[in-house]
Amino acid sequence: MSQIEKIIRSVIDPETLNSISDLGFIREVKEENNKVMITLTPPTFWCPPTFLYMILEDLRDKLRRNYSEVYIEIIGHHDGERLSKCINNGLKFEECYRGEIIKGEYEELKRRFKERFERGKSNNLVKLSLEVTGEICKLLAEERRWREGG
Amino acid sequence: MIKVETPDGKIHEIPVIDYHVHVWKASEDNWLRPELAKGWIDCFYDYHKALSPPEYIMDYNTFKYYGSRKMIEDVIINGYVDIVITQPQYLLYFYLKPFGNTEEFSKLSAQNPYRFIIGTRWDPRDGEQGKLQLEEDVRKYRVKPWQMKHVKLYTAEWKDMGGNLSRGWRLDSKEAFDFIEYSKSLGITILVPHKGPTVWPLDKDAFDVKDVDTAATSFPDVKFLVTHIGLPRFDDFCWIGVQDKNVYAGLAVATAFIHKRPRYFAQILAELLFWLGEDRILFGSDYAIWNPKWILEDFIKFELPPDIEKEYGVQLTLEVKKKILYENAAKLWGLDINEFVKVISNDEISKEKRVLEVKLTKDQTY
Repeated sequence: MSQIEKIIRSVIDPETLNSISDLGFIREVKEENNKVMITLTPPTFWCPPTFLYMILEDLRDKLRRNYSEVYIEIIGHHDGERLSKCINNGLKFEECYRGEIIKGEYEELKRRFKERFERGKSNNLVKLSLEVTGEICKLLAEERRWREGG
Repeated sequence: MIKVETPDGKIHEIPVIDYHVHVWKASEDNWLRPELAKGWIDCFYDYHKALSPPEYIMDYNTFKYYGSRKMIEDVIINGYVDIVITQPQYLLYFYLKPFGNTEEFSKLSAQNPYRFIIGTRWDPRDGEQGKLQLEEDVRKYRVKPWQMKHVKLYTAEWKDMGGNLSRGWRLDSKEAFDFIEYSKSLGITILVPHKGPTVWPLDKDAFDVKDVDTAATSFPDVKFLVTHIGLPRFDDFCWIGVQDKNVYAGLAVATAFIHKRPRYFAQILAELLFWLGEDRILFGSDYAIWNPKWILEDFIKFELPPDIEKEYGVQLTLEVKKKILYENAAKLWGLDINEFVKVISNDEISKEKRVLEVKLTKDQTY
């Protein structure tokens, strides 16, 4: 596995326990002279911006530790353009959706899902909920890729 | 109708009620905001293709608009369902005319109110105008007491609020509580909440089902049939179901796992039987996302794997299946099932209708 593949694989979707590699997010990776450009598509057009942003932040930060220039583009999402702009400009979620959110809630949500993630390791019901959601996302991503000829 | 012969020689005639059937209109001529309207139906189509057996996959154009005749063929004539309940969604930010349409279905329920059960929807952001519309719809469409007893509540519906986009609402808001009170006064006692991914405000967990908990606690005499069992927050849904005895599990989406991912289906069902018990689970296909024919063919023979039975201490007997397939829904909507079966066995549709016949062997659970 190349370095870039390893980095992408280490980014986990907080709603499902799955790596974004297994959820079919990645459409294109271009790497050149310490620069990287990644195009990604979430499993559905309606993927919640909150959780998508958590994924994007994690991916961006990990890439920035290894590359001098990082560019991420989200396609096939209802708010892809805005999300791409915000993540590349280093904006916080609440700056990206100014006026649409309550201050501090995004961080709180992140914390709660980290906890849920931990709970899922020992609690069968939480584990099942995460797994079933992951399975749906994987199946949807496959269909989508096929439909869009990606 | 499903006819099951058990090894003791008994014949069980099991009518089927599907609580979740659509007749939608997603063809291009109905697109208001094309990117969003297409994004919506494409997403449904991905769900359709992802979990259906290949021989049941519709072509994309038919899927966008199939009309009531095809629904009747697929769901009732060939799909073994006897009574169809609709769950309309309007999505007027995406579509010109309502996507899941009350009006088209109302023609069916007016002609054949024992076969088709209609409900509507409301949106607390519609205010007083919304209440007037609701009252008018109830008056117009309640041709029998069991009609217009339920509303589908899609909390993630987008709405233009004087030039600003609102991406949804919460069931525990004051405005929603007003609408619940008003619904009660009109004899609407079943609420069918559905969670979608873009609820306002955006920073909250959009699929959070906790607002259902607050509403269910505040209105103990109203029944909350949570469709898609709160997926992807199934864990939270189960905990709410334990606390609020007026919360029911709508199996649409979960049932579609039965074919390609049977073990997940078994685990989901076992969790529901363990936490909510056998009296609060309802069968639904979510047609046309999934065709009830293959789901029912699998379900009637479905057995929980022994390790799951043992782990949860639950069983999926034929009696439990009967509850899921019709008894629980009949109780919820107040239907006298014998009367219904008598009436619908003599209607026009019944002449063409197929029956699913199954013979269980001694080694199958029943």
